[in-house]
Order: sequence, then C-alpha cells, then structure tokens
Amino acid sequence: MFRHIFTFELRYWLRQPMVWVFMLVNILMFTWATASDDLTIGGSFGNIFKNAPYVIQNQFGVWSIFALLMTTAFVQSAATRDFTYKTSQIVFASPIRKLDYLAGRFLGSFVVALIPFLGISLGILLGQVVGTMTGATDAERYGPIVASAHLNSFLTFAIPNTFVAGAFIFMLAVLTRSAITAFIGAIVLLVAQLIAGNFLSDVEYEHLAVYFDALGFGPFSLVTKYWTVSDKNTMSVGLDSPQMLLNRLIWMAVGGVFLAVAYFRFSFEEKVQKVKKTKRDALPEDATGKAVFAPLRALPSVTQHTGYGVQWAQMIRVFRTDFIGTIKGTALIVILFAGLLNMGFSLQYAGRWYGLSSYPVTYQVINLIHGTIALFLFAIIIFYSGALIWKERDDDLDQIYDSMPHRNWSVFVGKMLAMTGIVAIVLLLCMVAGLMTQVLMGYTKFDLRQYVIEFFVIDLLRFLPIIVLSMLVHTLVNNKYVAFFAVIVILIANAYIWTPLDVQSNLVQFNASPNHTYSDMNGYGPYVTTFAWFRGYWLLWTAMLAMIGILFWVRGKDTAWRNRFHSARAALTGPNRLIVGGLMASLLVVGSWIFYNTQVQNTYVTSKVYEKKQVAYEKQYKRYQTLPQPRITDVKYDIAVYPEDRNLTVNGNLQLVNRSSFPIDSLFITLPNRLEYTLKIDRAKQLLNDEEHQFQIYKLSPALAPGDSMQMRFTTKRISRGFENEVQFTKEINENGSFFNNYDIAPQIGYQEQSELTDKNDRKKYDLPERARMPALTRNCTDKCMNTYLSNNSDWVMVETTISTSPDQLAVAPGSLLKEWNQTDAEGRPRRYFHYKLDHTSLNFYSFISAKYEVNRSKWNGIDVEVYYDKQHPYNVANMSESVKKSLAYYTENFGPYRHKQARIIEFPRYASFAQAFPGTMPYSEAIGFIAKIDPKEDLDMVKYVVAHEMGHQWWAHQVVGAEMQGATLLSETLAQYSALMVMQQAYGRDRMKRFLGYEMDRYLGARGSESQKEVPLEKVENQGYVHYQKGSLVMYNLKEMIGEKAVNAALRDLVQNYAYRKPPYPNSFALVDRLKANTPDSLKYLITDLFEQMTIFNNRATAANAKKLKNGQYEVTVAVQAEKYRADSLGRETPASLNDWIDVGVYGKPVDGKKQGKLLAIRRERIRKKDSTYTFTVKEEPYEAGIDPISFLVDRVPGDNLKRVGM
Amino acid sequence: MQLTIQNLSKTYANGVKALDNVSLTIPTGMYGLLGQNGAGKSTLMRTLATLQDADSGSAHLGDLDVLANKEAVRRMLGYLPQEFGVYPKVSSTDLLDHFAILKGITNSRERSQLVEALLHRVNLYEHRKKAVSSYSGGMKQRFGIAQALIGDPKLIIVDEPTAGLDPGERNRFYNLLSEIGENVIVILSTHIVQDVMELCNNMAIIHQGQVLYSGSPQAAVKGLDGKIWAKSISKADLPTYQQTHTVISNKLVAGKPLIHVLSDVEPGEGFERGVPDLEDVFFSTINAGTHV
Repeated sequence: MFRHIFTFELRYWLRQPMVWVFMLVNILMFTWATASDDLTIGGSFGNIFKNAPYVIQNQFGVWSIFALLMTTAFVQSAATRDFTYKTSQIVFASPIRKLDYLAGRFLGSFVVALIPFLGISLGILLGQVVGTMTGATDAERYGPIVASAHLNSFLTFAIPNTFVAGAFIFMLAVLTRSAITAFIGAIVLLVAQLIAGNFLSDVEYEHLAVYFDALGFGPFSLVTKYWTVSDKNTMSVGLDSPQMLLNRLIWMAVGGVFLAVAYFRFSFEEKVQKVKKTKRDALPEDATGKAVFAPLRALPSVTQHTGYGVQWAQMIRVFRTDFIGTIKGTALIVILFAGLLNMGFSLQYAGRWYGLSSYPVTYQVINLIHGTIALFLFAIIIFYSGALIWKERDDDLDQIYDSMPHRNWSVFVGKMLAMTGIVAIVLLLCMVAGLMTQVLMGYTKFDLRQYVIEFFVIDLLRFLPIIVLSMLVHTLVNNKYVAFFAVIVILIANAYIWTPLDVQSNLVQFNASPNHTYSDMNGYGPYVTTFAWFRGYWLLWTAMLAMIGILFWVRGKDTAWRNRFHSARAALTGPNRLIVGGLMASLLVVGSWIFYNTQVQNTYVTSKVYEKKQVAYEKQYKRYQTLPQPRITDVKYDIAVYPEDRNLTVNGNLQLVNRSSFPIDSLFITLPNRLEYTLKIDRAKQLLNDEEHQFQIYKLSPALAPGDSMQMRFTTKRISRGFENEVQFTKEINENGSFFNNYDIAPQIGYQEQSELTDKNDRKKYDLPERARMPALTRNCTDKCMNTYLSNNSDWVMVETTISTSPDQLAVAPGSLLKEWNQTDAEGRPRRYFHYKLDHTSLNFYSFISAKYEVNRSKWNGIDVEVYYDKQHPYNVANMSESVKKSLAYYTENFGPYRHKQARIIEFPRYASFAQAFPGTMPYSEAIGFIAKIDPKEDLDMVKYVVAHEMGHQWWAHQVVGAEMQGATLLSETLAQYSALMVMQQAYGRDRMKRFLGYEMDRYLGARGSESQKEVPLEKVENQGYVHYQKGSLVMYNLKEMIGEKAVNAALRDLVQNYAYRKPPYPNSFALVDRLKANTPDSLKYLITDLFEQMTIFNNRATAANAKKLKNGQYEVTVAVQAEKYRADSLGRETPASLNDWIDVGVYGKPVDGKKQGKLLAIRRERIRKKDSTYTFTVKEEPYEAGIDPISFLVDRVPGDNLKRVGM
Repeated sequence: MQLTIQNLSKTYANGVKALDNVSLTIPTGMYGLLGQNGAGKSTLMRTLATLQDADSGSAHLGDLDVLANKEAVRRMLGYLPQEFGVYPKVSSTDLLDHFAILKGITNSRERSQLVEALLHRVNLYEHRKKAVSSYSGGMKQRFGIAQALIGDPKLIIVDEPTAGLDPGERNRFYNLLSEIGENVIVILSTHIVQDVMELCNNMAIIHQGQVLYSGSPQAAVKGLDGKIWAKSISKADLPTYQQTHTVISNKLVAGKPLIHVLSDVEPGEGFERGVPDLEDVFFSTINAGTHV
C-alpha cells in the first residue's frame, strides 16, 4: 500500500508543471550565474573558479533557503490535498494504514521536492559551456568539474534541508489541515534561521552554529571560514566533516521527531467542527410551519445621496473596512510578529564592531530596522495588496458589492489607503521598537523628527508606488496567482535589469530615487531637493497607474478584454479624462524639468561609460607616464567654501621644480572630479585639451631646465546648479561638514596610474595588458624609489592656505592658524576667514574642512591637542584627546620628534566612514569613534585605538613614507598598527591584548580566502588591508613578544632618524626588515623569515590539560600540546615546514563573573621541535584553561583550539 | 413603473447561448422566472443587476436604460445573488451599515435607524452582533434580503433564494418577500414551480435562453384544464408510453412511475383525469420548447 501511495504521489507531481517550472527556473538562474558576472549567487571572484567546489556548495546552501518555499508548496499540498479537494471522507474511509498514507505522501513529495535541486547542478554545468562558448567568461575562470562537490552539496544541503523543512511543514499541514498555516510555518522557519544567523555571526558565539543552525549553514561557514583560495577551488564540505555530520544528524533527527508527532497526532477521523453551533433561530412557528412575525414596522425613509461627498465617504468606508479586516487577520499578526522578532534580535546587537557597542543613535537604529524588516514589508505589501484586490471575490461577496451604486475609484483608492495604512502600522511598530531599543540601551536623545521623516515620509512615499503597481497588476491580470508571480517578476526585473543595460537615470527605473544618507551633523542636507523632485515624479506615475487601475477595475462578471476595454473607454469621460490629461501633462512637465536638471544642467557618467573612459585614458596617455615632469614644492591656496549653496572656489598656486636631469618641454595635466578648471601656466602653450578624459598637454617654451622652477596657477570651481540624478560630491562640500583633500580639487601633474582599470578580468575584456598591482620589491632602490606610494609629482611641500566659509562655521586647513577674521566678500556676504600655514614641510596630501564645531582644546608639551566635534557627539572627546596625548608621549619617546605644533581630530559627516591621517590633522567620521560606547573595563577601546593608529601615521607615512613598490604600506599601516598596539598595551595591559589579537586573527584568516589576486608575504604587501592591518598587527606583536619592545623600537627609531622627511629615493620595506633583523638575536632570526619574508601558518592545539592540587595548596598543571608549522603560497596552498620555534605555553585562571578571560597564571616560552609535547606548571591559583600560544599571536589556522579546559 | 426587456441576447465565449432574443415586460409586484438549471435565468438577472453586459437588445426600467446607466440602476436596485458569502468575522450590523454607505446613505443617524429596522424586519435583531459568516443558511438568506432592501429599491432581484433551505426557513423567507411593497418590481428566479404559484402574480418560463411563456400562473394552469391525464405504470413500460404519448413528466409514487400525459382527449385505458398545476405547465411548455 505504501508503495502505491508513494508512486502515486510521484506520478501525480511529475505530471504537474510545478516541479518542472521550479527546475527550469533553477537551471536558468544558475546557467546565467555561472556563465556571466551579471548575476551572482553565492559568490565567485578573482582566483576562485566560477565552478569551484566551494562556490557550488555555497550556491546550494543559499538556494536551499529559497527552496524552502518550493518545498513548502510540494509538501503542504501533499498533506492537505484530501482536505482541499474534499476527498478526505472517501480516502479515509478506505482501508489504508495511517503509516502507509502519511509516509507515502511525505516521502513522495519529499523526493519530488529534491528534483528542482538537480537544476542547480545542471545549470552550473551548462553555464560553464555557455560561458566559454559565448566568451562571456574566460575559460581559465572555470576549474575542473568536481563531481564530489555536487554530491556533497546534495548530501549536506539539498537532502537534509528539504527533509527538515519538509517534515516541519508536513507536520503543520497534516495536523492543522490548512495551507496557510504551512506557509506561515515556512516563514517562521526562515525567521528562526535569520535569527540564528544573526546570533551566531559574532566570533564568540559561532561555535554554537554546529548545533543550532537548522539549515547547516553555520557549520559550513565555520569549517570553510579560513579556507584559502586554493582550498575553495578544490574542496567541499562533506559529511566526513565532524561538525557538518553532527549538525546534519541533529537536524535530521529533529525532522524525524516532527514526522513522529505528525504520525501520532494524525487521525483519519474528521476533525470535529470547532465552530460553535449557532443558536437555532428561536422563532415561534405556527402550525403550518410559517413563522409568526411581529407586526411589521415600516422601514424608515432614508435619503440616498450622490456626488463627490458620498464617493469620498464611501472611499473612507472601504478603507476602514479593509484596513480593520486585514490588521485583525491572524496571518498578518503572525508575519508581523516574526518580523519584529527578527528585528528585535538584530537591534539587540546594534552597532557591534570588534565586539563593542556604539550609542544607538537614531540613524543607526533606523538602518538596522530597515535592514531586517524590509523583506517582511515587501512580503506584506505583495501579499496583501493582492489579497485586498481579491477580497470581495474570495469572500464570494462580489456580486452584491459590485451591484452597489458606488464608484470604482472609491474602492480602488480606499483599498490603496488600507494597504498604505497596513504599511504605516508596521512602520509605527518599527518606530516604537526603535525607541524602545534606545530606552533600553539608556540612550535618551530621542529624535522623533527623524523617525517620522524616515518612516512616514520617505518610506511611505517609496512603498506607495509599489502598492499601486501591485494592485494594478492584479487588476489587469485578473488571475490571483499569475498576478502574484507577475508582480514579483516585475519587481525583480526592475531591480536588476537596469545595471546590465547601463541605465542609471532615476527617471527610468520604476520608483527609483537618489540614494540618501542621513547625518547627525548635516541632517538630510544635500539630498532633499532632488529626492523631492523624484518622489513627486513617481507619485505622478503612481496616480497614473491608479487611474489605469480604476478605469480597468473588474466589476461584474464580464471579464473578457473586449468588455473591459469597452468599459474603460466609456469611463474615460468628463473628470476622468481631465485627470488623465492633467496627469500626462504634469508628468511631461515634471519629467522634462527633472531631465533638464539631471542630464543637461548636471551630468553623470554611468559605470560602463566610466569604464570605457578609463580604458581610453590608459590607451591614449599611458605612453607619457615615464616622461620626466616637474615636481610640486610649494603650494598656496585661496579657498572659499559656501556651505549653504554647496559651492566651492579654489585658487591655487603651485611652484613646480624640475628635479630631473633633463629639460622638460611638455607638461601633462590630469584633472580630477569633473569640476570646472582654469589653468594659467608660465611659459606654456596648450597643445591638447581632452575634455572627455580630462587630460591636457602643454608645451613649455623655453623648456624647464634642470633645477629651474615655474609657477602654475589654477582656479577650480564647483557650482551647484539645479539638482542631480544622484547627489555627488557630498562628502567634499555640504551644508555642515565639508571635507575635501588636495586630490579632490587640484590638477595633477602627469599621467595618473590610479585611474586605470584594475580588475584582471575587466582588463582582459578591453584588451589591456595584465598589470601588476604594484612594482616588485627590489633591493636596488635608487631610480625605482623616486616616488612615494601616495604621489608621483611631489615630495615634501610647504602649504599656506587662506580659507573662508560662513560666519557660523570653522574652517581648518593644514598647519598653524596664523590669523582669523570676519569680513564681507565681493558680493557683500559676511564671511569668516582663516589663514593657516604648515610649520614643517609635509607630503602633498592634506585636507580642508568646514563645519559648525565645538572644540576641545588642551596642550601636551607645547603642542595644541584639539578635538573638533559636533555638539551632539561629546561622548568620546575626552578619550580621543587623551589618546592623542598618550600617543604623542609614546611615539616621541620611542620613535622621534613630532614636527607639527598641533594635533587635531576633526569630525566629519558619515558620507564616508573612516578616519584618515593628514599632517597634524586627523578627520574622523561621525559614524565611528564619536558614537562608540566603550565600557573601559571589558571592551576593546577602539576609539583610543583608532586615534593612536592615526597618530602613528604622523610618523609612519607623514615622516617615513614608503616608495611606490610592494611593501610600501608595511612602513605606514603596519607600523601605525604596531604603534597603536603599544599605546593600548600601555593603557590596558598585556592581558587585554588577547581579545584584540583574536579579532585581528579572525579577520586576517577570513579575508585571505577572498583575496582576488594573490596573497604575499608582509614585506611585499600590495596595499592589501588584511595583510598590512590584520596580519601586520599579529606579526609586529609576535616580534615584540619575542625580541622585546625595546629592540623593536630601537629599529624604528633608527628608521625615523634615517628616513624622516628625506628626499627621494624613498625607503622600501627592506629598510624596516633589515633594521628589525639587526635587532634580533641570531637564535630568533628565523622569525624575520617566517613573519616578513614568507607566509607562515601554524596549526597549534592543546590536546589534554590536567591538574592536581598539591599539599601546599598550589596546583600542578600538565598540558599536552601539538604544534605544526606550514608555509603557504599565494593561493593558500600549504606545505609543511620544519619546526624549531620558540612558542609560549601557559595556564589561565578562572574568569571572574561577567568576564570573558581569566588571569594568566603562568606562561613559559618553550623551544618546540616536534609535533607533540607535554609541559608541567605549578600555579598558586586554581587553573581553568591551559594550552599553547595562550595569547594567540601566532597565525593559526584554527585559533580556537589553543586552550583546553583543565580537568582536575 | 415597469421593466421592459426587448430582444436581449447573450452568447458566452464557449458558445453557450445564455439569452436568445428575450423580451419581457415586468410590472410591479412579484414576478417569477421559472426555468431549469442552466436555462439562462441567472444570466438574465445578472444583466438586470448591471453585472453583465448583453450582446444585443435593451432593458428599460421605466425610462431608464438599464444597460447604459448602470450607476443610476444600482441606486434603485436590491440584488440577492444565488450564492453569496460575506467578510469573515463581521457582524450583520456592521455589514449592513457598510452596504448602506455604499448605497449612498451617508447620514449616520438615518443609517443606524435603517439598519436597526432592517434587522427587526428580517428577525435578526437579536443576532445583530454575531458574525454573518457564522449564521445558518436561513439566517444568511434573510440577511441577504435585508441588504437588498437598503435604500428603498424599486427593483429587487432575488436569484434562487430558497435553494438548500428547509421548508420552515423557506416559508419565513417568502413571508419576507411578500411583505415588500406593491410598488416595487420583485423578480424571483427559481426552479421550484410551487414558489411561483404561491407568490407571483406574473411569471415567465425560460428554457435554453428563450422565453417560452409569460403571463399569470393562473392563466397558464387554466390553459391546461382537461388536458392532463395521469397513470401509474411499470418502469418497463415507460419508453413505450413516451413514444406513443406526450409524456410531460414522470415521477415515482410508491416506487412506480406516475406519468402525466398531455392530451385533449382521454389518451387510453387506465388514465385518469389530472388536475393541472403549474408543474404541468412548466413541463409541457419546456417539452414543447425542446421539440420545436
């Protein structure tokens, strides 16, 4: 019997189109994703093959989340079919065993639900063929076909996930006999998964993923977390991985429990109708069976009104009925509850960064809410806007309803308002949740205005067009399910189709508006005008769509297109015709105005056009790169910032000197940023002005002789006209917090290599030669070291600036403030002027800032320490100032003197979120640091750390700067990291460094697997963040631990003495590595090789730890450890290396309540030569954990297993 | 006022001719539309209720062109479709109130008085706060007639209202209908002959989209006086009788077919003179119609 039911189920589904449609969708999606880069599912880039085993498995994993809905469709239908088609009484009355019935139905639909997954494999295989044949993707981006990847993906993701989800849904469907419950169950499952994902994403919880991640993604990420490129290209996670196996077994068992519950609770008997029997009409009846009626009362006479007032009242009533009817529905409440739950879990982790929290400022809370609720809101809009359209028909009320004398528009608009109301309710709940989060986190600066604007103006205006679109599609398509599908397809197409078509105009993409960023400093600032225009434009379209919906509204039973056209045309009279005409005219006017502003007054470059420009620039002008050019030595600026108008005028005067040994007869100029430039150059005649590629060539006559100098004057203007498609240049110039550097505003001398196209595959596409990321590191450092990695046209320059701004703003330029005054400008506007001058030559790389600031001023040994901040963000100002002073103290003592008379930290709006070091000036985004909430007892003090890092740059980059060559950033970024670590260690002690290094380790190991070209040893770093920051921290801390802080600092001091502010040739990484080597004892010289010259990875772990209490009250701890050492190549392939290393072993005490790490009770440095060894300690306090490399500064593939809990 | 229907035709996309040149004149009072399932009654009623367009022909309510002035018709219309549902979990008071707004009764005092009176009228007042979706079939139909009475309609269309009701409920329902004023046109469609006889002054018989008879039921019955003959026969003989006589109906009485035969003279041995009723009219008419 089981076989019969099972095969019936199979045959039933195989005859249905659904399974084949799903499979076809999968084939298409994955063929597309594998054949081209237009669509990305689960990610492949750089050196990772597009069909790498890791990528395939990732794709299966990602897709199994979407497949959840497909699985639901199959399984719930199998479970409820007999109830849906009311065949239950017939089927259940036949002699089937319960087990056969349930097992047959479940297994049948389960097997069928697996079929679409085959489409993924087929799509990937097909995509490779299509990609190579059409040339969309290079053959070399595909690796060999690895069958085990597909097999493992099925075994780890497709089968178990379908089983668990299917069992859950099947149980719900069988027990409740309701399709809706099953779908809600699927949503609940998704939310649970999202929550688990959120919760498990922090390093400190991720090991729990092995147990709690229902879909197996947790163990997959955990196992593959530190996989290198070569790992990803060759391996997939199979059931032989213990974590994966354990997780899958756990969840298959859970699935089994679901099925068992379904089996035991299911009964063939008809569910007893729970509906309370309505009281029978208790009407007295006479003998003939006719009711005796009370004497009839005449119906009161009423007036039927007509006209707009009535139509309005009817519209309001439709709104009220549909709105209340929907928000009282259980389904909405469940979905909403799930969404809020998901949101709550995320809000709890608001602003985590290196395990620390920031103040829940309103924009951040809103961002978080948007991120988590968006999916649910879209689901709600898509589902309920359709449901409202079908409400009367679904309830079988349509005939009565349609024969009432109301107008169609009252219904359409009423329903639209109801849907808007539902969205508003959700948003209101979001707002309440946001405010509650802020209250719970003790943040009381409630910014109701921002909540209201963001949720009830911006969001509602964005959702309304989608609501109306969906309602229109349902109206026109007039088939509920097709319409749902069509709406989703339209929305997805609208989201993804425009980028490949290279269309970026917000006039074209449905419902598009310019991106905007709220900043505490600058509010909605520059975005308001253009946002308003585009919203207006799309609201007009929305009204138009609504009109079409009203005209084609389905009323009555005649739904043939002929009749609908007929009645639409009949309705297009009088006021309707006027409205449609008016809308068309307004659209034309508004559209033209926007077009004029965004395409004529202002222009933009689409990404493909930009790419082509880069290509043309390189192809035409690269030949001039090697010709000698004069260098900038002295710069004077006269800058006027007009914050209110977002205008900027720069007058600059560059002194150029020929430092080469040849006369220079041509000058090449590259103009950045598409601003308006006027150039006046001594003895120069313009030969070429390529406006398209912003490149100019001048002939110098007489030629500039070696050693001679000349002047170049320029004027740069940035004038706001009208409004833009996307607001550009916002960081640089805005109402409060303009922040630009000299590269943003000044013409550049010579061909600029950084404008070239960098991506390997893109370069190939345009026939450009392969390009090394950076010139190779070489010992011969004379002619190849003539430029810093920051500039190819200047060395150390003097800068003098006069900068003016609005009277209520402070403007800051490099150097000391010589004079400040107020006067009116030529147009009679009151202005505030500042005159700054550098006290010491610096790199030609500095910033200009203007905003309304509070300033915290103090002094350290005669140096002005200043923090410029917005008055809303006073939290960490004292800490920053303190950090500057601590840094000055440590760095001047250990590295060398500080050459500026001031050290400034300046807050700027979050149009960018970084901190950056310029000479004496460190701009710092409002989004980090300024709002960080540090618990100094427990947290990593990232505020202090970042300031110390930027202060480190005052030596590393702004005094000693690397040549344009591999390893350049070792001299700046890595040394700034080291400097900051030392300041932190001084402030918080060595024990606290472990957690910090733990995060650095995690980020390094994680990022190297995403390397797009090749990983290199630290001394050859090619500006790779994960190498010069994260690995740099680990390496320098390791070295400091091994050879001592003094020895390291001696090397650094020597480096400063030799290279600070030195003319070219500039130092390269050998200058540092050699000095470190000189300060390293011979016994440890291997470290220089391991840390700087090679990529070395350890695999260390503690295997056993035991303790016994001694008679004297102390404890004897015995710990067994393993150590292995590997060398890695650029793709992460590892080969064993011989072990003869000094490695720490140690014992930790029990953490006090609330702390994460106990006290380090004992630590000993041991020379380890073999894999396994055992060590013994005697400690005074009770031991808790013991192991190898306890502080974790060795790069270790699995850092988490270094310590083991001590057994007594 | 009367409703004049002239040459109304409607053919569905699948080729079914639902209305074939239908012309009727319907005066005030109860008017019965008698026909088998699928005869075209519902199509005709939906067309009159502005829910469907005709391919050709016209319908006028007084001077009002029903097919062209839908909104005006809807203001004068009360419609109870053959099957209808309601919003879930909405009480009859709220739902009637909702419909009253849609009918243009925007004065809230008037509206609440009307709703209350309607609920009394259809005897649902004590259940007014309960969800209509929980009502029994009879209660729901009475709710249906209540909503159709909103706004003093001049034309009330009631499509197969008693299908599925028990006899008691059916009686109650007809009592309600019969209370509707004499100045209103009430069109009642049914396939139950008895209903028309009891309630209607005028009627039409529709078959396969065509009007086969229109007039008063009494006149129709009178026309068959002396022409109906009945006989109890054995099942095996039925085909023979059908070939030799105009058998207009047969039904089982005590397990044996009782046939009615239309004949001006005594059709043969064993036949007894039957008293014609509307059912005989109905079957004789449609039989004749089918043979044509």
